[in-house]
Amino acid sequence: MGRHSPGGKSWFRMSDQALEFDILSQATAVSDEKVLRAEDSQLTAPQVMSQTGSWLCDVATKTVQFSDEMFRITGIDREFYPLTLASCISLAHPLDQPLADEFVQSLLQQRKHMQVELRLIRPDGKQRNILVQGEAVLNGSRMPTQIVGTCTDVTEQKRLDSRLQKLLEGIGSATGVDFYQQLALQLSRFCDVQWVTIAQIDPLQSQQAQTVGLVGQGELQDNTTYDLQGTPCAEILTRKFVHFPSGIQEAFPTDAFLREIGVHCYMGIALGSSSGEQFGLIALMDSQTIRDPQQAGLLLRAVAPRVAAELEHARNAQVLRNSEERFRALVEFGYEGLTILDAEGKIVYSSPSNSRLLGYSQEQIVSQFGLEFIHPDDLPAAEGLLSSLRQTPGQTVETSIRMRHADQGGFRWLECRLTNLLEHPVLRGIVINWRDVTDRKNAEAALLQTERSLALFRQIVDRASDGIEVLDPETGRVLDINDTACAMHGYTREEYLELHIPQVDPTVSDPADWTRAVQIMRTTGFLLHQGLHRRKNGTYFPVEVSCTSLQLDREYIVAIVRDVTERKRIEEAIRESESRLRLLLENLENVAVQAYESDGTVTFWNKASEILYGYSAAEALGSNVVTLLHREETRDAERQIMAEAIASGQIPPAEEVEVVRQDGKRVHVFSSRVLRNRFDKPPEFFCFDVDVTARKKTEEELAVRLAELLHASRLSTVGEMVAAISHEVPQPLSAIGNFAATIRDILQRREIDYPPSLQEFSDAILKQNRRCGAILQRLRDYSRRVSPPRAVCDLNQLLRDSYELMSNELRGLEVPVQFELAPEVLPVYCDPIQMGQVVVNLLTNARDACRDILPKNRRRIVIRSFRESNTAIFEIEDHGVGISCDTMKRLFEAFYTTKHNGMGIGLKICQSIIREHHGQIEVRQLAAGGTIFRTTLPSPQGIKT
Amino acid sequence: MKNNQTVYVVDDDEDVLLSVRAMLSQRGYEVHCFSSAADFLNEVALEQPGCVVTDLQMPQITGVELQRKLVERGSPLAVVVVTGVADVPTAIDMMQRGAITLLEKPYDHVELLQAVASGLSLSWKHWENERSEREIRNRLATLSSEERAVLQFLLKGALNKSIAATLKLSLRTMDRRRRTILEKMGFESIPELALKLGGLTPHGFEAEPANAR
Repeated sequence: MGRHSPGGKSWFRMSDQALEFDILSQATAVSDEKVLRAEDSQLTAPQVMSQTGSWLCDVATKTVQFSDEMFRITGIDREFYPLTLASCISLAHPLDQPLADEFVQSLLQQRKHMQVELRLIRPDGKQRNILVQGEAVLNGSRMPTQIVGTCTDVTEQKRLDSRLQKLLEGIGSATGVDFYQQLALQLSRFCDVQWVTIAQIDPLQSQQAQTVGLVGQGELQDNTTYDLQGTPCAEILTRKFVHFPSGIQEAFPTDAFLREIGVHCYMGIALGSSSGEQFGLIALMDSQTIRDPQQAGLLLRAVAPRVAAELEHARNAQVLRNSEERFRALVEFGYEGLTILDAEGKIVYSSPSNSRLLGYSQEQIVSQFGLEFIHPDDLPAAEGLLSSLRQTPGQTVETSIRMRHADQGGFRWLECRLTNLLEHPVLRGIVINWRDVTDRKNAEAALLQTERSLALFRQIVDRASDGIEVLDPETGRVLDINDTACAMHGYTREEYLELHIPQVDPTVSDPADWTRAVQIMRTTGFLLHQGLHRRKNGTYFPVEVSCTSLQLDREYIVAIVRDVTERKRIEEAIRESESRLRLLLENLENVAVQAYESDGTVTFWNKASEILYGYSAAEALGSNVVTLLHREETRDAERQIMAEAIASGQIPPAEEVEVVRQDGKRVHVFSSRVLRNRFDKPPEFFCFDVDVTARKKTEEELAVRLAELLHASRLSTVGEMVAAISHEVPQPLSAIGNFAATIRDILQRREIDYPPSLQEFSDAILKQNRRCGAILQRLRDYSRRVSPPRAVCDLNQLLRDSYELMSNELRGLEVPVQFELAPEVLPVYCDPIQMGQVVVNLLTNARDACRDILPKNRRRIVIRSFRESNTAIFEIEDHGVGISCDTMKRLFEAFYTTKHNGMGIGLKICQSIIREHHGQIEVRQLAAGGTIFRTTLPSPQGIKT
Repeated sequence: MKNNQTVYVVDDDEDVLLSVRAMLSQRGYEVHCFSSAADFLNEVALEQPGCVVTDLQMPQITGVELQRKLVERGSPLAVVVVTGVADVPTAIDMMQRGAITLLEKPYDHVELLQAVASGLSLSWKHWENERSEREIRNRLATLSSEERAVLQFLLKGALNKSIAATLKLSLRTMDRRRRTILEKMGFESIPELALKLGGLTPHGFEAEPANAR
């Protein structure tokens, strides 16, 4: 808010001439300059130093010229900014523009030197305070042709001003001792010093100082009296202002207090009375040099007159009080009656007015006890008062009391002043001055009644949670407010009542706005507006204001102000959390998130959903999620699930589902849903889908491979069994054949007698024997025919794939598997399924060997591969139980096993497979326990393909 | 039956050994059984004719190795292989090295008997061929170098006169030498000797005689 500032209205500029740092001197110097010509470049340097620019405005063309410093102050670009009167005015703060306009108009009309203080908004958005001075230049016919002037940047000065203002605000409306203490505290804070003393000199004993405000280490201290002799304070009284940046203890070696509180720096100022007497001081002390001594000095000088005034006022008040007391004892004004009681309370004298006012004759009243005339309700109080008064000679008490009227039978209210003058040589009694205040009392009582109800109303209004302001519709002045409004804005009631509404509500800072607002209230009877209100400390807070125009004895505007800071904060928090969540959901990678209504209408569709399902958000929003993603056959089931979820409020557990993309492809997603209840609508679904198609495919492939392997394993097992049988059985069969043939030979020789059927039987044995041979032959032929497909494979890959099949089981048993594979590709020519079977077999054995090993951290399996000349080798090493010597011998024998449910065919199969691949398998014991199975396979070059 | 019909049976299965022995003994063969190839190789004089019936799969020394050792030592023993399981390459390999036959168990006993019979006869024939060959060789070794030179011309069908002229011998010396040669070689006439010598030259065999092996 700009304000006219005739010659420095701000009070601290009135400080005395002795000021060492008069920051106003610059401004004063400028104002002395009568006319500054903008084009005079010689003036540039002084202008820069004084932060004062000059300007010139041609009245006819309304064009303006700026000095260089003007450009610096305003921050505008001389190249591009059109310098016209209007554009210059527009540089001012919007609220100050009317002032600027008015300033120019006044200059043209009144043609004398004027100045105005304005706020300036620079193009970079910074606000500066400027003091603009101007004067019209007149032509021969005394008409203004030009306006010339200066402009001073007073922002810094304002800043200091506002600091001082703050300091004084901190003191607030404190008076008396509170004032000194608050001031001392504020000074300590503002000047950042540990100790502040405000002291007065005893008027009777000029060598004694008495503190009225003492702050030490930022805390209030008890006031004290001290001797000025040998202290820097004494120095103040002669020099008025002292400043020792350091070394104060050395300068005043006899001052014990300085050493006691450990200060080295001292700054003090004397307080002078209006009569020129030095009767007090303010001192700042600190262990460090004062940070900003210039400002501190300035502050001291600024507050000193105020403190002095306060001290003087207090002194005068004391003098007045003393004389008044004396005066009152002698002369009593305004009392209508006089009654004197003796020590026992009997009336010894009553003034004549008594009969007029109370209707008693002298006879009726004298010698009676005074208390007899008193209203029974007041009697106890009166007795108490009287008896206590009797104890203390010279004391005066005042009371209101009801006395019985002689004629009317009623009671009159008397205001009494009782003085114990029992020891007075003349009076020897209790002197009662009194007057009849019945009418006043009655009026008061009536008033009290009204006031009570008003007070009640007031209480209600004050305790309302909303602030209530009663405003003048014309001026916007605050006529009444409740406590809530005061607390909300940080003003005391008294301060608030001094305000106009634009000082609180910047939206109506323009009087025209206020008028318009009032107009709306009058026509519609009501105005609701949201905006910001300004607190006393200059901060703003959001409010919701509803205003009504009330017509009572006159028109009032009643504004109900609600502080919506909390609501705004919550709204903001909600907005923020919502936007954060939305951002999160929107950008979640690989998690397709959708939201939809209970009927399936899509309301949210994130990017991942677009990618996963192929529908853009624009396509999906508003569509039905069920028809969008579900096959025709499953739609009803899906709707059923949704309906049940809404009915029960329970979401079905997250599961894997198959849905259809836009392009018709089916995808498997792991879908979990959240049901969000809303108070005004049916609940909505949030659905989080993760594409598991690839995983599912891998799982299926793995399952197929495992099945293949199992099948192959079964086949191999059968094959191996056939092979074993066709190797083992022929032995006994051939023996049987031989024996049978022998028997036949013997029989044919007919050297012994025998039944003829014997030869038939032996022939039958031979025949059956041949049949067995034929069966075996067929079996052999069959197993030879099975020749699995072979290809060149990478042994490393094969090992990894085989491990993959076993990995779950191995993890479950907590057997860590370590890979030591050859870095290069190891090609082998093999049937991958059979070879895989070998690896799985060996890994299974290794696992079983490790199963019972404790501690668990000893369990370990190593899968190793390497090249040796032109063979590829892999080893399965287990740190398990190892193999006994007996077992070692029969390791590769068919049907030999050490496992409870083993068939004893696994290693046999391995051996057969490896042999079929022209390789070999060996086993070796580890010294530390465990076994290594080494399989050597020829490189593909050495094998006919 | 002749007592030189010796059959050696090698099999790690005792019952099989027993059954083969029973059958062959019944047929009049002299049967010797061995439960391992090593025992057989240690105990039998390998330069004698006979027939070996051996299993293929045996611990330590297998049937294949056994045959290889016999071939290495130039043994006249015939080899008959019986096996539980035989793969084709092994079978071909063994047949190429002169095995009589390879029978898969359980074989027809008639087949085994035939194989043993033919094995023995071949072995004897072989042994006898070798023996006569060795005798001629020994007799050839007794000839002097002059006699050898004369024999060379004689075997080519040259007449005494031309030989004498070529070797600058008198006819009488020539005739005497001719008689000494026939005497030393144990033949009545030169054509008889030439027939017996076959591919042999007076300095030894030029090539392996084409015998039944």
